[in-house]
Amino acid sequence: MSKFITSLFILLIGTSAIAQDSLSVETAAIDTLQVQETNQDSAVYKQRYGLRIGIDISKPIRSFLEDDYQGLELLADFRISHNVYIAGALGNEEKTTQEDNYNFTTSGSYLKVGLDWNTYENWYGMENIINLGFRVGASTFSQTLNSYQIYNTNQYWEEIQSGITGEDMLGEYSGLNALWAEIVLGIKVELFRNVFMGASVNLNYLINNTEAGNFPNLFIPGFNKVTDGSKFGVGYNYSISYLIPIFKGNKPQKQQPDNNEQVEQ
Amino acid sequence: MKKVLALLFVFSASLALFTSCEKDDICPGDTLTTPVLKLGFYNISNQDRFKSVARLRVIGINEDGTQRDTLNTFPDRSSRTEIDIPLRTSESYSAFLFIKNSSDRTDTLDNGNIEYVELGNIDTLRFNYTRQEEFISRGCGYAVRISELGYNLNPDFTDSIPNDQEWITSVFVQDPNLQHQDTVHVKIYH
Repeated sequence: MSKFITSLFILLIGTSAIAQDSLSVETAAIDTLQVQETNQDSAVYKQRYGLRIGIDISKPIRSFLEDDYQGLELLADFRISHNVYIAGALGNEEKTTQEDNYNFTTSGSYLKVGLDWNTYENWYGMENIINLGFRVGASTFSQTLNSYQIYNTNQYWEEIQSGITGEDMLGEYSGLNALWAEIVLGIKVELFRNVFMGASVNLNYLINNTEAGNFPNLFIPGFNKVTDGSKFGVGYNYSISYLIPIFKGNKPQKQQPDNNEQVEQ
Repeated sequence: MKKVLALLFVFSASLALFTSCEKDDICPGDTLTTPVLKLGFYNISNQDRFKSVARLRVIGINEDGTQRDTLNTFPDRSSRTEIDIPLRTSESYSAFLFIKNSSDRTDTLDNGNIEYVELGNIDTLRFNYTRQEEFISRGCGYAVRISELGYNLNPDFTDSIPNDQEWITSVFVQDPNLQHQDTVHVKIYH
Protein backbone atom coordinates (compact mmCIF):
# COMPACT_ATOMS: atom_id res chain seq x y z
CA MET A 1 0.00 0.00 0.00
CA SER A 2 2.76 2.40 0.94
CA LYS A 3 4.43 1.58 -2.39
CA PHE A 4 1.26 2.52 -4.18
CA ILE A 5 1.07 5.85 -2.38
CA THR A 6 4.71 6.55 -3.16
CA SER A 7 4.28 5.81 -6.83
CA LEU A 8 1.13 7.91 -6.93
CA PHE A 9 3.09 10.75 -5.35
CA ILE A 10 5.88 10.41 -7.92
CA LEU A 11 3.30 10.36 -10.69
CA LEU A 12 1.77 13.58 -9.39
CA ILE A 13 5.14 15.30 -9.24
CA GLY A 14 5.82 14.14 -12.79
CA THR A 15 2.51 15.50 -14.05
CA SER A 16 3.10 18.87 -12.43
CA ALA A 17 6.57 19.02 -14.02
CA ILE A 18 5.06 18.39 -17.45
CA ALA A 19 2.49 21.10 -16.81
CA GLN A 20 5.27 23.54 -15.99
CA ASP A 21 7.09 22.57 -19.16
CA SER A 22 4.16 23.31 -21.40
CA LEU A 23 3.64 26.60 -19.64
CA SER A 24 7.18 27.74 -20.35
CA VAL A 25 6.84 26.75 -24.00
CA GLU A 26 3.74 28.83 -24.29
CA THR A 27 5.53 31.82 -22.84
CA ALA A 28 8.27 31.35 -25.40
CA ALA A 29 5.67 31.24 -28.12
CA ILE A 30 4.32 34.57 -26.95
CA ASP A 31 7.81 36.08 -27.02
CA THR A 32 8.39 34.86 -30.55
CA LEU A 33 5.12 36.31 -31.64
CA GLN A 34 6.04 39.70 -30.25
CA VAL A 35 9.33 39.74 -32.12
CA GLN A 36 7.56 38.57 -35.21
CA GLU A 37 5.70 41.85 -35.36
CA THR A 38 8.89 43.87 -35.56
CA ASN A 39 11.09 41.69 -37.76
CA GLN A 40 9.39 38.86 -39.59
CA ASP A 41 12.40 37.31 -41.36
CA SER A 42 14.62 36.43 -38.44
CA ALA A 43 11.79 35.62 -36.08
CA VAL A 44 10.56 32.26 -37.32
CA TYR A 45 13.14 29.57 -37.81
CA LYS A 46 12.24 27.68 -40.93
CA GLN A 47 12.53 23.97 -40.28
CA ARG A 48 14.22 21.95 -42.97
CA TYR A 49 12.26 19.13 -44.58
CA GLY A 50 14.04 16.59 -46.66
CA LEU A 51 15.52 13.18 -47.12
CA ARG A 52 18.16 12.08 -44.65
CA ILE A 53 20.35 9.21 -45.76
CA GLY A 54 22.92 7.49 -43.63
CA ILE A 55 24.89 4.45 -42.75
CA ASP A 56 25.11 2.39 -39.58
CA ILE A 57 28.77 2.80 -38.63
CA SER A 58 28.75 0.03 -36.05
CA LYS A 59 28.41 -2.67 -38.69
CA PRO A 60 31.51 -1.77 -40.78
CA ILE A 61 33.47 -1.42 -37.52
CA ARG A 62 32.33 -4.86 -36.37
CA SER A 63 33.16 -6.26 -39.82
CA PHE A 64 36.66 -4.89 -39.44
CA LEU A 65 37.17 -6.09 -35.86
CA GLU A 66 35.50 -9.49 -35.99
CA ASP A 67 36.54 -12.16 -38.44
CA ASP A 68 33.19 -13.91 -38.32
CA TYR A 69 30.98 -10.91 -39.03
CA GLN A 70 30.25 -8.82 -42.09
CA GLY A 71 27.45 -6.31 -42.27
CA LEU A 72 26.23 -3.13 -43.86
CA GLU A 73 23.12 -1.09 -43.16
CA LEU A 74 21.83 1.95 -45.02
CA LEU A 75 19.35 4.21 -43.29
CA ALA A 76 16.94 6.80 -44.58
CA ASP A 77 14.18 8.96 -43.22
CA PHE A 78 11.88 11.54 -44.71
CA ARG A 79 10.17 14.20 -42.68
CA ILE A 80 6.45 14.32 -43.29
CA SER A 81 5.38 16.77 -40.59
CA HIS A 82 6.89 18.87 -37.86
CA ASN A 83 7.82 15.87 -35.73
CA VAL A 84 6.97 12.75 -37.75
CA TYR A 85 9.37 10.98 -40.06
CA ILE A 86 8.99 7.99 -42.33
CA ALA A 87 12.06 5.88 -41.64
CA GLY A 88 13.60 2.82 -43.13
CA ALA A 89 16.70 0.69 -43.27
CA LEU A 90 18.14 -1.74 -45.74
CA GLY A 91 20.87 -4.08 -44.66
CA ASN A 92 22.87 -7.20 -45.25
CA GLU A 93 24.59 -9.37 -42.66
CA GLU A 94 26.73 -12.48 -42.65
CA LYS A 95 27.61 -13.91 -39.29
CA THR A 96 29.31 -17.12 -38.24
CA THR A 97 28.41 -18.30 -34.75
CA GLN A 98 30.41 -20.83 -32.77
CA GLU A 99 28.34 -22.65 -30.19
CA ASP A 100 29.56 -25.43 -27.89
CA ASN A 101 28.68 -28.30 -30.19
CA TYR A 102 28.18 -26.72 -33.58
CA ASN A 103 29.13 -23.87 -35.88
CA PHE A 104 26.86 -22.13 -38.35
CA THR A 105 26.80 -19.16 -40.70
CA THR A 106 23.78 -16.96 -41.26
CA SER A 107 23.66 -14.82 -44.36
CA GLY A 108 20.90 -12.59 -45.65
CA SER A 109 19.29 -9.22 -46.23
CA TYR A 110 16.62 -7.26 -44.45
CA LEU A 111 14.36 -4.27 -44.84
CA LYS A 112 12.80 -2.19 -42.08
CA VAL A 113 10.10 0.43 -42.62
CA GLY A 114 8.25 2.52 -40.07
CA LEU A 115 7.69 5.88 -38.45
CA ASP A 116 9.75 7.99 -36.06
CA TRP A 117 8.18 10.53 -33.79
CA ASN A 118 10.45 13.33 -32.55
CA THR A 119 9.68 14.01 -28.92
CA TYR A 120 12.34 16.68 -28.46
CA GLU A 121 11.35 20.33 -28.29
CA ASN A 122 14.33 22.06 -29.90
CA TRP A 123 15.79 25.40 -28.97
CA TYR A 124 15.68 28.10 -31.59
CA GLY A 125 17.63 27.10 -34.67
CA MET A 126 18.31 23.54 -33.67
CA GLU A 127 16.99 20.42 -35.26
CA ASN A 128 18.07 17.61 -33.00
CA ILE A 129 15.93 14.57 -32.54
CA ILE A 130 15.06 12.28 -29.68
CA ASN A 131 12.74 9.86 -31.26
CA LEU A 132 10.42 7.06 -30.45
CA GLY A 133 9.51 4.90 -33.38
CA PHE A 134 8.27 1.62 -34.65
CA ARG A 135 9.35 -0.52 -37.56
CA VAL A 136 8.20 -3.58 -39.37
CA GLY A 137 11.19 -5.66 -40.35
CA ALA A 138 11.48 -8.48 -42.84
CA SER A 139 14.44 -10.65 -43.68
CA THR A 140 15.23 -13.39 -46.15
CA PHE A 141 18.31 -15.41 -45.38
CA SER A 142 19.97 -18.77 -45.28
CA GLN A 143 21.76 -20.69 -42.57
CA THR A 144 24.64 -23.04 -43.21
CA LEU A 145 25.54 -25.65 -40.63
CA ASN A 146 29.32 -25.85 -40.94
CA SER A 147 30.08 -28.52 -38.37
CA TYR A 148 28.53 -30.23 -35.37
CA GLN A 149 29.02 -32.95 -32.81
CA ILE A 150 26.36 -35.09 -31.25
CA TYR A 151 25.67 -34.04 -27.68
CA ASN A 152 26.03 -37.09 -25.48
CA THR A 153 26.74 -36.75 -21.77
CA ASN A 154 28.27 -40.21 -21.53
CA GLN A 155 31.40 -40.45 -23.66
CA TYR A 156 32.12 -44.14 -22.94
CA TRP A 157 32.55 -44.77 -26.67
CA GLU A 158 34.86 -41.71 -26.96
CA GLU A 159 33.23 -40.69 -30.19
CA ILE A 160 34.04 -36.99 -29.82
CA GLN A 161 37.62 -37.73 -28.74
CA SER A 162 38.18 -39.90 -31.78
CA GLY A 163 37.06 -37.04 -34.00
CA ILE A 164 33.69 -38.35 -35.10
CA THR A 165 31.53 -35.42 -36.15
CA GLY A 166 28.03 -35.24 -37.54
CA GLU A 167 27.47 -35.37 -41.27
CA ASP A 168 23.77 -35.94 -41.88
CA MET A 169 22.67 -32.41 -41.02
CA LEU A 170 25.51 -30.44 -42.60
CA GLY A 171 24.77 -28.00 -45.39
CA GLU A 172 22.82 -24.93 -46.31
CA TYR A 173 19.27 -24.34 -45.19
CA SER A 174 17.96 -21.73 -47.60
CA GLY A 175 14.70 -19.96 -48.27
CA LEU A 176 14.29 -18.92 -44.65
CA ASN A 177 12.45 -15.75 -43.76
CA ALA A 178 11.22 -13.80 -40.77
CA LEU A 179 8.92 -10.90 -40.03
CA TRP A 180 9.08 -8.83 -36.88
CA ALA A 181 8.00 -5.58 -35.23
CA GLU A 182 10.37 -3.16 -33.53
CA ILE A 183 10.16 -0.38 -31.02
CA VAL A 184 13.01 2.08 -31.54
CA LEU A 185 14.40 4.63 -29.15
CA GLY A 186 16.95 6.91 -30.73
CA ILE A 187 18.77 10.18 -30.75
CA LYS A 188 20.15 12.22 -33.63
CA VAL A 189 22.36 15.25 -33.13
CA GLU A 190 23.36 17.68 -35.86
CA LEU A 191 27.16 17.85 -35.69
CA PHE A 192 27.74 20.08 -38.72
CA ARG A 193 25.32 21.65 -41.12
CA ASN A 194 23.15 18.78 -42.48
CA VAL A 195 25.38 16.09 -40.94
CA PHE A 196 23.80 14.08 -38.15
CA MET A 197 25.18 11.53 -35.78
CA GLY A 198 22.78 9.13 -34.19
CA ALA A 199 22.36 6.18 -31.93
CA SER A 200 19.41 3.96 -31.27
CA VAL A 201 18.34 0.80 -29.52
CA ASN A 202 15.53 -1.40 -30.64
CA LEU A 203 13.43 -4.08 -29.07
CA ASN A 204 12.16 -6.63 -31.58
CA TYR A 205 9.22 -8.97 -31.44
CA LEU A 206 9.16 -11.88 -33.84
CA ILE A 207 5.83 -12.22 -35.63
CA ASN A 208 6.59 -14.88 -38.20
CA ASN A 209 9.57 -17.17 -38.49
CA THR A 210 9.90 -19.71 -41.29
CA GLU A 211 12.57 -22.21 -40.39
CA ALA A 212 13.97 -25.50 -41.57
CA GLY A 213 12.67 -28.61 -39.80
CA ASN A 214 15.93 -29.79 -38.28
CA PHE A 215 17.82 -26.55 -37.82
CA PRO A 216 15.96 -23.61 -36.27
CA ASN A 217 16.72 -19.97 -37.01
CA LEU A 218 19.22 -18.99 -34.33
CA PHE A 219 20.22 -15.67 -35.87
CA ILE A 220 18.16 -13.50 -38.18
CA PRO A 221 19.82 -10.65 -40.12
CA GLY A 222 18.38 -7.39 -38.81
CA PHE A 223 16.70 -9.09 -35.87
CA ASN A 224 19.87 -10.51 -34.29
CA LYS A 225 20.06 -13.46 -31.94
CA VAL A 226 16.95 -15.56 -31.50
CA THR A 227 16.63 -16.85 -27.96
CA ASP A 228 15.13 -20.26 -27.16
CA GLY A 229 11.51 -20.00 -26.12
CA SER A 230 11.31 -16.24 -26.59
CA LYS A 231 10.05 -14.05 -29.38
CA PHE A 232 12.03 -10.99 -28.31
CA GLY A 233 15.29 -9.71 -29.71
CA VAL A 234 17.37 -6.60 -29.25
CA GLY A 235 19.56 -4.51 -31.47
CA TYR A 236 21.48 -1.27 -31.58
CA ASN A 237 22.78 1.06 -34.18
CA TYR A 238 25.14 4.01 -34.47
CA SER A 239 24.62 6.14 -37.53
CA ILE A 240 26.07 9.01 -39.51
CA SER A 241 23.60 10.60 -41.85
CA TYR A 242 23.29 13.52 -44.23
CA LEU A 243 20.17 15.60 -44.66
CA ILE A 244 19.30 16.63 -48.19
CA PRO A 245 16.96 19.57 -47.58
CA ILE A 246 14.11 19.68 -50.08
CA PHE A 247 11.89 22.41 -48.71
CA LYS A 248 11.40 24.46 -45.57
CA GLY A 249 8.39 24.72 -43.42
CA ASN A 250 7.24 26.69 -40.42
CA LYS A 251 6.78 25.22 -37.05
CA PRO A 252 3.04 24.96 -36.43
CA GLN A 253 2.04 27.83 -34.14
CA LYS A 254 0.54 27.02 -30.81
CA GLN A 255 -2.76 28.64 -30.10
CA GLN A 256 -2.15 31.62 -27.86
CA PRO A 257 -4.11 31.18 -24.68
CA ASP A 258 -6.07 34.04 -23.15
CA ASN A 259 -4.39 36.03 -20.41
CA ASN A 260 -7.16 35.17 -18.02
CA GLU A 261 -6.54 31.48 -18.41
CA GLN A 262 -2.87 31.92 -17.71
CA VAL A 263 -3.66 33.61 -14.42
CA GLU A 264 -5.82 30.69 -13.48
CA GLN A 265 -3.03 28.26 -14.25
CA MET B 1 19.65 17.84 -21.21
CA LYS B 2 18.00 15.63 -18.64
CA LYS B 3 16.21 13.81 -21.40
CA VAL B 4 19.50 13.22 -23.20
CA LEU B 5 21.04 11.80 -20.04
CA ALA B 6 18.04 9.58 -19.47
CA LEU B 7 18.31 8.32 -23.01
CA LEU B 8 22.02 7.62 -22.67
CA PHE B 9 21.19 5.60 -19.59
CA VAL B 10 18.66 3.57 -21.53
CA PHE B 11 21.26 3.00 -24.28
CA SER B 12 23.90 1.71 -21.92
CA ALA B 13 21.44 -0.44 -20.00
CA SER B 14 20.20 -2.00 -23.21
CA LEU B 15 23.73 -2.62 -24.41
CA ALA B 16 24.61 -4.33 -21.16
CA LEU B 17 21.52 -6.49 -21.57
CA PHE B 18 22.41 -7.27 -25.15
CA THR B 19 25.94 -8.43 -24.47
CA SER B 20 25.34 -10.34 -21.25
CA CYS B 21 25.09 -14.10 -20.96
CA GLU B 22 21.78 -15.69 -21.64
CA LYS B 23 20.31 -18.80 -20.11
CA ASP B 24 20.16 -20.71 -23.35
CA ASP B 25 23.93 -20.67 -23.86
CA ILE B 26 24.36 -23.80 -21.77
CA CYS B 27 22.66 -27.16 -22.01
CA PRO B 28 20.68 -27.80 -18.81
CA GLY B 29 21.41 -31.15 -17.17
CA ASP B 30 17.79 -32.23 -17.04
CA THR B 31 17.28 -31.85 -20.79
CA LEU B 32 16.50 -35.08 -22.59
CA THR B 33 19.29 -35.28 -25.16
CA THR B 34 20.92 -38.49 -26.33
CA PRO B 35 19.32 -41.16 -24.11
CA VAL B 36 21.07 -43.97 -22.29
CA LEU B 37 19.67 -47.48 -22.54
CA LYS B 38 18.29 -48.61 -19.20
CA LEU B 39 18.52 -52.30 -18.49
CA GLY B 40 16.78 -54.15 -15.67
CA PHE B 41 17.61 -57.66 -14.50
CA TYR B 42 14.58 -59.78 -13.68
CA ASN B 43 13.89 -63.22 -12.32
CA ILE B 44 12.99 -65.69 -15.09
CA SER B 45 10.78 -67.73 -12.77
CA ASN B 46 9.03 -64.70 -11.27
CA GLN B 47 9.04 -62.20 -14.06
CA ASP B 48 7.81 -59.12 -12.18
CA ARG B 49 10.65 -59.31 -9.68
CA PHE B 50 14.07 -57.83 -9.99
CA LYS B 51 16.90 -60.29 -9.60
CA SER B 52 20.32 -58.85 -9.09
CA VAL B 53 23.36 -59.99 -11.03
CA ALA B 54 26.32 -60.73 -8.78
CA ARG B 55 29.68 -59.13 -9.57
CA LEU B 56 28.49 -57.71 -12.89
CA ARG B 57 31.00 -56.30 -15.33
CA VAL B 58 30.06 -54.79 -18.69
CA ILE B 59 32.55 -54.16 -21.48
CA GLY B 60 31.88 -52.53 -24.83
CA ILE B 61 33.16 -54.16 -28.01
CA ASN B 62 34.78 -52.15 -30.76
CA GLU B 63 34.02 -52.71 -34.41
CA ASP B 64 37.22 -54.72 -34.83
CA GLY B 65 36.22 -57.03 -31.98
CA THR B 66 38.62 -55.60 -29.41
CA GLN B 67 37.36 -54.80 -25.96
CA ARG B 68 36.95 -51.31 -24.59
CA ASP B 69 37.43 -50.22 -20.99
CA THR B 70 35.01 -51.43 -18.35
CA LEU B 71 31.69 -49.58 -18.43
CA ASN B 72 31.78 -46.64 -16.05
CA THR B 73 28.11 -46.05 -15.25
CA PHE B 74 28.12 -48.33 -12.18
CA PRO B 75 30.78 -49.69 -9.80
CA ASP B 76 32.64 -52.48 -11.53
CA ARG B 77 31.95 -56.02 -10.31
CA SER B 78 29.09 -54.99 -8.05
CA SER B 79 25.69 -56.58 -7.65
CA ARG B 80 23.15 -54.76 -9.86
CA THR B 81 19.47 -54.87 -10.68
CA GLU B 82 19.48 -51.89 -13.05
CA ILE B 83 22.22 -50.36 -15.17
CA ASP B 84 22.58 -47.59 -17.74
CA ILE B 85 24.16 -48.44 -21.08
CA PRO B 86 25.48 -45.66 -23.34
CA LEU B 87 24.89 -46.42 -27.00
CA ARG B 88 27.09 -45.42 -29.89
CA THR B 89 25.72 -42.40 -31.74
CA SER B 90 27.87 -42.84 -34.85
CA GLU B 91 26.77 -46.42 -35.56
CA SER B 92 23.38 -48.09 -35.49
CA TYR B 93 24.51 -50.89 -33.21
CA SER B 94 26.41 -51.30 -29.94
CA ALA B 95 27.72 -54.60 -28.62
CA PHE B 96 28.64 -55.42 -25.03
CA LEU B 97 29.98 -58.28 -22.98
CA PHE B 98 27.85 -58.91 -19.89
CA ILE B 99 29.92 -60.81 -17.35
CA LYS B 100 28.29 -62.43 -14.32
CA ASN B 101 30.46 -63.38 -11.34
CA SER B 102 33.35 -61.56 -12.93
CA SER B 103 36.83 -62.31 -11.62
CA ASP B 104 40.32 -62.79 -13.02
CA ARG B 105 42.83 -65.58 -13.10
CA THR B 106 46.35 -64.28 -13.41
CA ASP B 107 48.55 -66.28 -15.75
CA THR B 108 52.26 -65.70 -16.13
CA LEU B 109 53.22 -66.32 -19.72
CA ASP B 110 56.45 -67.94 -20.89
CA ASN B 111 57.90 -64.54 -21.83
CA GLY B 112 57.22 -63.19 -18.33
CA ASN B 113 54.20 -61.08 -19.18
CA ILE B 114 51.10 -61.32 -17.04
CA GLU B 115 47.77 -62.15 -18.64
CA TYR B 116 44.38 -61.83 -17.00
CA VAL B 117 41.85 -64.48 -17.89
CA GLU B 118 38.20 -63.73 -17.19
CA LEU B 119 36.60 -66.53 -15.17
CA GLY B 120 33.03 -65.16 -15.14
CA ASN B 121 30.15 -66.22 -17.30
CA ILE B 122 30.27 -64.02 -20.41
CA ASP B 123 27.24 -63.29 -22.55
CA THR B 124 27.31 -61.00 -25.54
CA LEU B 125 24.44 -58.71 -26.25
CA ARG B 126 24.29 -56.63 -29.37
CA PHE B 127 21.70 -53.85 -29.65
CA ASN B 128 20.57 -52.68 -33.06
CA TYR B 129 18.61 -49.45 -33.46
CA THR B 130 17.65 -46.61 -35.75
CA ARG B 131 19.31 -43.26 -35.14
CA GLN B 132 17.69 -39.92 -35.85
CA GLU B 133 19.68 -36.77 -35.26
CA GLU B 134 17.58 -34.02 -33.81
CA PHE B 135 18.22 -30.41 -32.84
CA ILE B 136 17.47 -29.95 -29.14
CA SER B 137 18.28 -26.34 -28.27
CA ARG B 138 20.90 -23.64 -28.80
CA GLY B 139 22.93 -24.78 -25.80
CA CYS B 140 22.68 -28.53 -26.43
CA GLY B 141 22.87 -28.64 -30.21
CA TYR B 142 22.14 -31.99 -31.81
CA ALA B 143 21.34 -35.22 -30.03
CA VAL B 144 20.49 -38.66 -31.35
CA ARG B 145 17.04 -40.11 -30.81
CA ILE B 146 17.02 -43.91 -30.67
CA SER B 147 14.11 -45.89 -32.05
CA GLU B 148 13.25 -49.44 -33.12
CA LEU B 149 15.65 -50.97 -30.66
CA GLY B 150 16.30 -54.67 -31.22
CA TYR B 151 18.79 -57.10 -29.77
CA ASN B 152 20.91 -60.06 -30.68
CA LEU B 153 21.99 -62.37 -27.87
CA ASN B 154 25.39 -64.02 -28.29
CA PRO B 155 25.81 -63.29 -32.02
CA ASP B 156 29.41 -64.24 -32.58
CA PHE B 157 31.36 -63.92 -29.37
CA THR B 158 31.98 -66.86 -27.10
CA ASP B 159 33.37 -67.17 -23.62
CA SER B 160 37.13 -67.23 -23.26
CA ILE B 161 36.59 -70.37 -21.22
CA PRO B 162 34.04 -72.40 -23.18
CA ASN B 163 30.75 -72.46 -21.32
CA ASP B 164 27.56 -73.80 -22.78
CA GLN B 165 25.58 -72.52 -19.83
CA GLU B 166 24.81 -68.87 -20.74
CA TRP B 167 23.34 -66.90 -17.88
CA ILE B 168 20.89 -64.70 -19.79
CA THR B 169 17.73 -66.71 -20.45
CA SER B 170 15.75 -64.18 -22.43
CA VAL B 171 15.54 -60.51 -23.29
CA PHE B 172 12.42 -58.38 -23.64
CA VAL B 173 12.44 -54.90 -25.21
CA GLN B 174 9.85 -52.95 -23.29
CA ASP B 175 10.39 -49.46 -24.74
CA PRO B 176 12.04 -49.70 -28.19
CA ASN B 177 12.09 -45.89 -28.60
CA LEU B 178 13.79 -45.03 -25.29
CA GLN B 179 11.25 -42.31 -24.69
CA HIS B 180 11.58 -41.99 -20.94
CA GLN B 181 14.77 -41.87 -18.95
CA ASP B 182 13.17 -43.02 -15.69
CA THR B 183 11.90 -46.47 -16.69
CA VAL B 184 13.57 -49.70 -17.81
CA HIS B 185 13.78 -50.02 -21.59
CA VAL B 186 15.01 -53.59 -21.81
CA LYS B 187 14.31 -56.41 -19.37
CA ILE B 188 16.88 -59.16 -19.04
CA TYR B 189 15.65 -62.40 -17.49
CA HIS B 190 17.99 -64.79 -15.81
